[in-house]
This record gives sequence, structure tokens and C-alpha cells, in this order.
Amino acid sequence: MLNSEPRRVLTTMASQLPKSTAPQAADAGAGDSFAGDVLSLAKAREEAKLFERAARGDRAAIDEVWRVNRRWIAAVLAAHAPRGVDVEDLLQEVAATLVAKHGHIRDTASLRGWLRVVAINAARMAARSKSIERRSLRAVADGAAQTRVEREPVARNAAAAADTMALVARIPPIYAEPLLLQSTQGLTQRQLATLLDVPETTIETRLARARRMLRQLAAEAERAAERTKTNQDG
Amino acid sequence: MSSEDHAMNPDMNHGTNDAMNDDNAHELDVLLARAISGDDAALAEVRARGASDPAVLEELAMWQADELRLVRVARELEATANRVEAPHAHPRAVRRAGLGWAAAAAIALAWFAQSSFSRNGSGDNASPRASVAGVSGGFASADDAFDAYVAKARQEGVVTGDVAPPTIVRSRELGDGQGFEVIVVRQVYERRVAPQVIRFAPSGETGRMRPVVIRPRTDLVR
Repeated sequence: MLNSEPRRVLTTMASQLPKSTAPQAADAGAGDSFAGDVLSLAKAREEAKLFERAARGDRAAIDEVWRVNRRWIAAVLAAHAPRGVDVEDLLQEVAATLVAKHGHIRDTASLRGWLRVVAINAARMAARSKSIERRSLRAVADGAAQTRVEREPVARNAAAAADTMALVARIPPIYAEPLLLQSTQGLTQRQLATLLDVPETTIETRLARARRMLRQLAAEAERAAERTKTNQDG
Repeated sequence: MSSEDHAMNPDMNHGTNDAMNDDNAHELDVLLARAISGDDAALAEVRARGASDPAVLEELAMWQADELRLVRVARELEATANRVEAPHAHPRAVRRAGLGWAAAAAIALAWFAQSSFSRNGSGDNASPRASVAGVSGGFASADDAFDAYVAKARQEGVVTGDVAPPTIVRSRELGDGQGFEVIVVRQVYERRVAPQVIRFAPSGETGRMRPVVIRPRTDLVR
């Protein structure tokens, strides 16, 4: 039984965990598709004008719409793409589809729903055809690092992220998708319910199941690593 | 409880001890998931339960560790997403450097295969032969011809490593008990030597993608 001190530490850690552990947008000004879903009137007008321009083919507006949405689309792709498929390649496909069919840009709700379908179809095609070059998240980070003169410690994070994504890849997409969108993009259950077009209670169930599956997979991986270490030491 | 719970756990309604345990376990998972996502009331509930059952706090700590793992994933996904800009050329002409090389290799391979055919085949359209690898005809079926091609190509060192099994692209039921129509794609990795390759690169003020012929360097030292 735990003594009281570790218990206080555990609950203190939990209370200090931010509501959203999703990282802040690296490019200030690019915004976030889901930030401030309840928009002020002025912001709503601004967004409507952006969409009008994008729908008419204004390149700057299309670029802005893409930048605002690409991060959560990456999370959807990561949830649906099979292991080893390059998320960056799939993102390029989705971006190209957005440019080609910019007429779909009418309003936020329909755009997100449409982009999600495009992303899922791209991931499923990648799984079927297997014609896209197989690279893991680790290789994506390595490839990006190799364009620099020196390798940076970012590759270490990429390796750890790749290990976690290998676990997530074993979770059915129906559970992995809300998990990644919540954890990596900070979406609320309400936002998830709207995006995935299912009730909030269903989202709550899927998130709980996804986290339970991740815990079980992580525990299996830890036990396997222990066994390997024991065999090597023995 | 959502309908999905019942769908996933058909025994839930039977009221057995196992089903009740499953219910309790899921209820705890929902509570932990809420606590992890920042629900203060859920966190307070977890702490209260942890006062009499320390295993609950241990579980919370492990779920927190998993959440931190996902934070790393978030960073990588963000870095990946930020590298991808909307293409400016016509989408069909857009190629990443990697895929451009793939397209160039395909063109070179087609040229090389054509050269092989003109060396080995008679070019008689009335009786075409499958002679990409210089394999003679007279097979009972297309599958036999394919297997013979793979065998010959391995001998020549054109095919190395495993040949992936056919990948299903789509399928549909034919009806009337006839079975299923399955469309598959076969992929064989071949090693070829091409005299030159073509790369698509942006050029001019518009940045339009144009093919550029790349010839081998003569000063490359191995």
C-alpha cells in the first residue's frame, strides 16, 4: 500500500497537468482551426471573408485555410494510416486536394468534415496500395534532420514519438482518432463529437477505451523490454 | 452508457459478475480519462477513491505517463504538419523530391524495358510476348508467366528480396453465388541501371514543374 507521501505527489502531478497538453502553435498568427469555436461576431465575419476568398481561388486565402487546419489533419492521418506510411506524404495529398477543390471551402463545419473525409480516404488508399514509400515517424524526423548541417537532439524526441505511434497504430482508428485529436490538438469532447458526428457520450466511451488500450499496449511493451534485458543480462 | 458500449460488450446486459466487473472497470476508465483531460471534478473523485484504493492513483500516474508520451507525438505531428505547405503548381504536376525520383525511375525503367524488348523480342504485334526480363513465351497461364518472370529476374539480379503478395485494391460480390471480383495490384521491386534520369523541378518565374534530364557524373569516386 502506498504511504501518504507518494499519493500526495501523484495527485499533485495530476492537478498540475494542463487541461490540454497539446503544444502551442509554432507559427504565431497561423491560428488553429478549433481555437475559439465560439467566435465573436467580428471574428466570424473575418472567417467568412477568408472562406469566400479561398472559395474564389485566392491563393493567399487557400494557404491560410490550409495552415489553420493542417495540424489536426495530421492527427487524423496518423490515426488512420497504417504503420510505416509517411504522414507527410499523405498531408501533401490532402493539401493538393484542398487546392484543387477549393470550391468546397464554404464554412468551417463543412470544411472540417470534408477535409476529414479526404484525409481518411488518403490514409485508406495508402493502406491498400502500399505504393507510397514506407517511412516511419523516426525516418521523417531523420530526413528533416539530415537537411540540416548537424543532427539535433530533436531526433531523440522523434524516436520516442515513433515508439508511441507504433503503439497507437495497433489501436483501431475509431478509438485512435479521438485520442490523438484530444491529446495532440487539445480538442474537447464537444468538438470531437461535432467533428466525428457522434454523440458526446460515444466520444467519452471511445476515449476511455483508447486510453485503456494504450495503457495495455505500453505495459506489454515494457514487459517485453524487461524480458529482453533479462535475457541479455542472463 | 452509450449504445456503443452495448455493441462492444454484448454480455453487458446479462448481469453476470464478469459483466458487472467490466462495467466497473469501464466506469473507472471513463473517470480516469476525464481526469487526464483536465476535468477537476473527475480528478477530485479519483483522489477520493485513491484514499481507500491506492491502485487507482497508481493507474492515474501511468495514464499520465501515457499522456506525456502523446505530447511527444504531438510535437512530431506539429513539426510534420508545419513542413507541408499547400502546393502552388497544378496539383497533378506536384511531386515531392522523393516521388519525383520515383516518377523519373519509372520513365527510365520504361525506356530500359523497351530497349530490352527490342533486343530480345521480334516486336510482332500479332503474338506479343512477355519478355521484359527476356523470358520466352509458351505458358499455360498468366500466373505461370509471372512466376517465370520472377524466377528469371532473380537469376539476373533484377529482382532482389521478397516479392510482396498481391494487394487488394477493391472487391465486390458478384451475386448468384459466383464469388467475388477482386482487383489486386502486384508490386515487384526491380533494380535497374539507367543511363540518365529525369527529375521534375520548378523553373521560371511561375515555378512550374518541368522535367530536367540528369546525366551521371564522371568524377564520382567509389
